[in-house]
Formats: sequence, structure tokens, C-alpha cells
Amino acid sequence: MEKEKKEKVDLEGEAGAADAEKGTGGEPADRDDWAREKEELINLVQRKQADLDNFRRISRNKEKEIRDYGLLEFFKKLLPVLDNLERALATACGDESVPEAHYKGLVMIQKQILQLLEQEGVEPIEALGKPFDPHFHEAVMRSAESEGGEDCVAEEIQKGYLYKERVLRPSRVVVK
Amino acid sequence: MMSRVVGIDLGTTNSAIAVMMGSEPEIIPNAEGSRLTSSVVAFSKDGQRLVGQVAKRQAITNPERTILSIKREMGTSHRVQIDDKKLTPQEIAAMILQKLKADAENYLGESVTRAVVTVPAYFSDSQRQATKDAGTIAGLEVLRIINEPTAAALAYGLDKKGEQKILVFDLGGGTFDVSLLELGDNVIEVLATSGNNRLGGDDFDDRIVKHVAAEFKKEQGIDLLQDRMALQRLKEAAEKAKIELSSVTSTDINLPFITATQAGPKHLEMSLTRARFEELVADLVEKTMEPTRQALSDAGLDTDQIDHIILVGGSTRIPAVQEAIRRLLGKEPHKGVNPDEVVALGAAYQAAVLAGEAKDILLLDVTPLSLGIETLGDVYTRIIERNTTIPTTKKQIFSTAADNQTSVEIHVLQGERARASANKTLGRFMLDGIPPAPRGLPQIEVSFDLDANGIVNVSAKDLATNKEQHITITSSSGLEKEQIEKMINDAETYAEEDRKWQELAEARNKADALAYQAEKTLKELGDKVEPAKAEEARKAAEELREAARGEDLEKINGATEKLNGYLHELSAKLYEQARAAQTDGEAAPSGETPGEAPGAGGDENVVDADFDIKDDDAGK
Repeated sequence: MEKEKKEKVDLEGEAGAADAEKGTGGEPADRDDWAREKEELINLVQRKQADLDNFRRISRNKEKEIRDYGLLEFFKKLLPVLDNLERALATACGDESVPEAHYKGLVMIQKQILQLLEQEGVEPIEALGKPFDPHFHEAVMRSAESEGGEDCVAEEIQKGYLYKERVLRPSRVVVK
Repeated sequence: MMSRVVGIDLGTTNSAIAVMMGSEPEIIPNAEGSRLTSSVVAFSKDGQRLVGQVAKRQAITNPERTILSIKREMGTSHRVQIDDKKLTPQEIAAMILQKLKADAENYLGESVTRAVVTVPAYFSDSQRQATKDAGTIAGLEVLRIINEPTAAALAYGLDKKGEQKILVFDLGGGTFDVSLLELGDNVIEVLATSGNNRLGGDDFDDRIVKHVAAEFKKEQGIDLLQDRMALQRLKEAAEKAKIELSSVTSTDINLPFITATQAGPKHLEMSLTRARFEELVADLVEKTMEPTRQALSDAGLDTDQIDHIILVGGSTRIPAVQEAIRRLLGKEPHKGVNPDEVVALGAAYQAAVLAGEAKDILLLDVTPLSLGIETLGDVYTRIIERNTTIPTTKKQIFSTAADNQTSVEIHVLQGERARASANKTLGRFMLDGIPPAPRGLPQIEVSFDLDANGIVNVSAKDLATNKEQHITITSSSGLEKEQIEKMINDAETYAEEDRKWQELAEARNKADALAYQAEKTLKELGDKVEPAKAEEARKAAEELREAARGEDLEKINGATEKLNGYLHELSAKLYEQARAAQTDGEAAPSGETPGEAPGAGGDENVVDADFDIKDDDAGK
């Protein structure tokens, strides 16, 4: 890491050197030179036009992306909040000291959030029991009993979600 | 058709690819929409190849066939056994490059066959060759292998500033590299390199995790580090907190239901200040200073001999790191370019130069100040906004301010103030021979043409007669550099004042136009209107003119509304009469402000405007 390295890098490169040889910068000397320069300029204009057209096309794609998936980052931030609500529900579930009515109310809130998400195109990924697929799942550990054969999802540590077919957050799973 | 040429930062943990778009390089997102691609390659059980985030996700289930950090093995005899094949590091790296290439082609809609790929400055010849081979295997013609710090310097355009000594400070996710470069005549020399390949952003996260776990243990008696689930959440929260503390001085770490005990669920709720965070990582920051001092010493340089400092890698966003650099080198580091992307961007720029595209990348200037003309009421009407790239042409249509006005004066101005008289005069000229017409009817097309050298050609053409006049203004006629800065500062200082004044000027002009329209309408209608009502309206118009001469905005608005009211009343009455009498073809007057010029031609650059150019003789 402490090695001293002296290295010269020519930034111009072969293209630059070739230009120097051609002697660009001087005025074209004869008809052929004029014709050649005209040719080059026409090519340049065409290239610039093409660049502009391509840029326009890419811009439009970007705009469409923002329109269709504009809320992606927001939903990513919202998911941990939903996770926490579901943790509360999980804890309250077996707990006798939590009044039934309270628990029911919390479940209703969870349903509300899920419905809202669904309307926007956000859906949970069904992972439990399914074959493990890294396109939708993230393996956080292997379960103790490994049966061999096809990997499948033994446990869901954290729910994953899709946003209009795209993976918003992969399911965090234990693989058997 | 020529294929696109790209720049690729092939990193240990993450890679990025960029391309020149016009005169600036831009990062190309991958198929998953991410600007960074994980440098992970894996082979599933059925032989399917996975690259990037997908490969990372199955790493735990498939450790023998998942390859992380292949960059560390470049140029070695290391081999990866996959089924019956022994793969070389360059073959693995080629798979990452292949994904970058394919995704880029998809995004750009063009083929990508040539690239510049970056490597650390300390890479040996065999490591460089291996990287080049990886490119070839991936189907890319590698125009050149350049050093990462060099690429970063290029991204900041430092190759254009003559002889420079540059320090590149690269603090990434897992490694730290410092490089000292000397830039000369299109030549870059590496003077010294140093670093620590076990120091990065992850270590900073880890300090927060340990701190939070220790606090929680103190309060609750539970060690979260033993709880796998809790640890995962802690790590994510720590990274998030670290990032937030780069922009705010205190942040909250909230993890409800972090763990469960017999007594019930436990929550983690803690705040972390930037000051505390800086205490926790002080030794890590100091660890970056040692190699920096070492590199300077190896190169035989004093700290004040460094001309530029460049930041690379996400962790350089941490204020404590920037402060340490500032203290050591007595200079402000460059941070304008995204530190995660700067190497790829610089590589893309170099790629364009080598492919001969750079001579096509004309480095264009921008106008430092807006250009425009004076319109009715000492108003400055911009035609070309400041910071517009030149060469450029812009046209706008204007009209006359008074009835039978046969000439217009084009007063060309440069500046940012709302009042024409507060800006710099570049020139004036007249266009005459305009056929007499009611105000607002003639169409005068004013065209501003700026060439690449900053020479301004302003022309005015009467679209009815095609009569045209123009003036050429050389670039030296405008404001000097200090005056330009003063103009921009003044515009900001007086922004509120200018805005108010503009409101007033607009109200005045509209009032004037309305009064004129009202009088015209009343004349046209003659005896179709009740004399009493006509007198009311006439008086309101006079009041409005009076108000418009003053500076009371509320008074003007009030009088405008009043006159509008009368005119609407009149129109309503007239429509009634028309319906009753069943006469067609009677155009009832409307209370609209005149002077709206209909669009001329299909020229995109023509903007309809209801501005009038006042004639010198029409009186100010």
C-alpha cells in the first residue's frame, strides 16, 4: 500500500495525436480539403442531432419512470413502520393482558394500511413454503435441518413487497 | 453507426458505468434501476449465472458458488471451481462487466463495445492486464486502463487547469486509498499512494451499533448483539443514522419491539448527536490521516503544496472526515460530484476523449447574464436567460404601445434587474415604416442570436412589411467579470423590491391597456349604450388612468376592477339586447386586455407576449 508508483499517462491518446498530424486548426488549402471539412461538419451535425434525439428519448423514459414509480422511495421508508405495527400485533396476539378490543382495533389499522398500499400497487410477496428465489427473496440464514434437494423458504424473518411487479423490498427468509 | 463508448468503475464491492451525454458524463442505471451494481457473481445449483444484487441475496445459501470481492484476486493464480470448470478472476470479473454492458445497451438503445476501465493506482502490471482481459472477455474493446484517482481528477475537469498537484482521498465501504497526482501538459503522474485496505464506512456503522447496544444493555440489561434479528435491525438503523448525521446534528434511533422478555416487549429509543458520533469514530478518522501524511512524505510534498483535494467514496460525506482533511491540508476539498460516482464519470469522460469524441464535445460557454429589451413602463423583458448554453437563438413577438405608432425603438439590455434602467445598455436601434394601426395590432418579431464567441445579433422585423433592422454587439460591450457578479448579487439583494416594482409595472400596463380598450369600445358602441352608463364607464376609465400614473398598487387594482365591472355590465346588457333584437354578427366588447399578439408561424422559439415596445416619441 505504501509503494510509490510513478506513471505517466498521456491524456490525449491516439485520436489526439492523429489530429495533430493532420494539422487541424489550419485553414483548408484546396478544394479537396474544403470538401473533406464540409463532410466532417455534416457528420458532426448529424451526430449532434442524433445525440439530441437519443437524449430526448432517454429523458422521456426517465419521466415515465418517475410517473409510474415515483412513490418507490417513499414506500421503502414506510415499510419499516408497517413492520413495527405488525411486530406490535404479533406481541399482543398471545398476550392476555391486552384487551381483545384493542387488539382488534390494531388489526383494523393494519388492514387499512395494507389496503392503501394495495391500491397503489404495493403487495406483499408470498414467500413461506415457496422455492427460494433470489429475485424475490434474500437469504439471511440456513435453517438447522437441511434436507437437501431444492432450497425452499422455511421461515419469513421480514416480509417482502412488490411495487407494480418490481421488487420494492425482498423477503428476508430462512432457507431450508 | 459508431457504438457508444463508456467508462466503468469496477469496484471491490460495487461497480458503476457512465457515458457522455452531450458535454457531461452521466451514470447509467442497471436493469434493476440502481446506479450501483454489486460486484457479486454466483452460480445457482442448476448452473444459472447471477450477477449483482440477485447474487448477493443468495450468498448464504450458496457460499461455495458465490464470489465476492473478485477484484482482490485480479492478477493472481486464484481459481474458482464451478462444476467442471476452473474460472480465472478475469473470467469472473468479465461477468460483472457483461451485465453492466448489457444493461447499458438496453438503457441507451445502442450497442456498447468500447470502454475505459479504472483500477487502483497501486495495481501491478499483471493486475492491470487481468482487468483488460476481463473487458475483452466481456466483449468490450478496452481503450485504456486508467487509475481511479486519475479518473476522479478528470471528473472535476482538473486536466484543464494547467499544472496541479492533486490529493485524492478515497474512503469507500471497506477500503481507504490516498493518492497524490501531478497534472501537467495532458499528462498525469502518480507521485505516491497509501491507504488502509481494512478501513471503510462499515467500520463507522459498527461503532454506532456497539454504542447503542452498550447503552441498551446498561438500561435494560439485555445484550442485543446476541440477538440475530435485533442485530440486523440495529445495523440498518446505524447506517441510516450515520447518513442522517451528515446533514443534521442530531437524529433519533427508534426500534420498537426490538426484543421480548418475560416481562414483555422491549423498545429501543435513543437519540444520537453528531458530536457523540464524532467521539465514537475519532480514532477511525485519525486512521485516515496517517496514510495521508505518509503519502505526502513519500512524495516529498508539504501540505500547502497541494492545489486540489478530491473526495471519492460515500464515507467522505461524513463531516468529521471533511473537517480532518481541512485541518490537515488547510484547504477546502472539492465535493461537487457524487463521491460514489465520480470515478465512473471521469472514466466516461476519458473514454470519450480517447474515442475521438471529445473534439466533438465542444466546450460551450454560457451567457453569464440575461439579455433582453426594454418594454413599456421601463420594464426589462428577458429574451435569453442567464446561464443558457450558447450558441443559441430566441425570438419573441412584440407590438406597439400607442395608436398609429409607426416606429419602435429596440433598447438591448444585459442584466437581472426588473427595471430596464437598472440594467446595462448594450445598444439601441430603431425600426420604422410600421403601417399605422391601433396599438397592440402590429407584430414585431424580435430575434436574439448569440454565437459561440458571445457576439449578439439583435434584429427586429415587422411581420406585415418584412422590414427589418438589426444591430451587432460584440462580447466586449457587456459588463466586466466583477460587474457581472455585482449584478447577480444586486438582483438577489433587491429581489423583493424588484418583484414589487414588477407587479406595479404590470398592473400599470394592464390598467393603461384596459382604459384604452374601454374608451375604444365605448366609441364603437356609440348610442347603443345608455348615456348615463357610458359616462360612468368613461369616468372609471379616467380614474384608472389617473391611478396608473401613481405608485399605489392597491388603488390601481381597485380602479381596474371597477372599470372591468362596468364593462362587464355593458357587455351583458348588449348581449341581452342582441338576443332580444335577434341581430347576429354583433361582436360585444369584452373586458380583455388588448395587445395579445396572435402566434406567428410554427417556430418553436416564438412566444406570444402582451408586451408593448414604447416608441421614443410616444412619450415616457
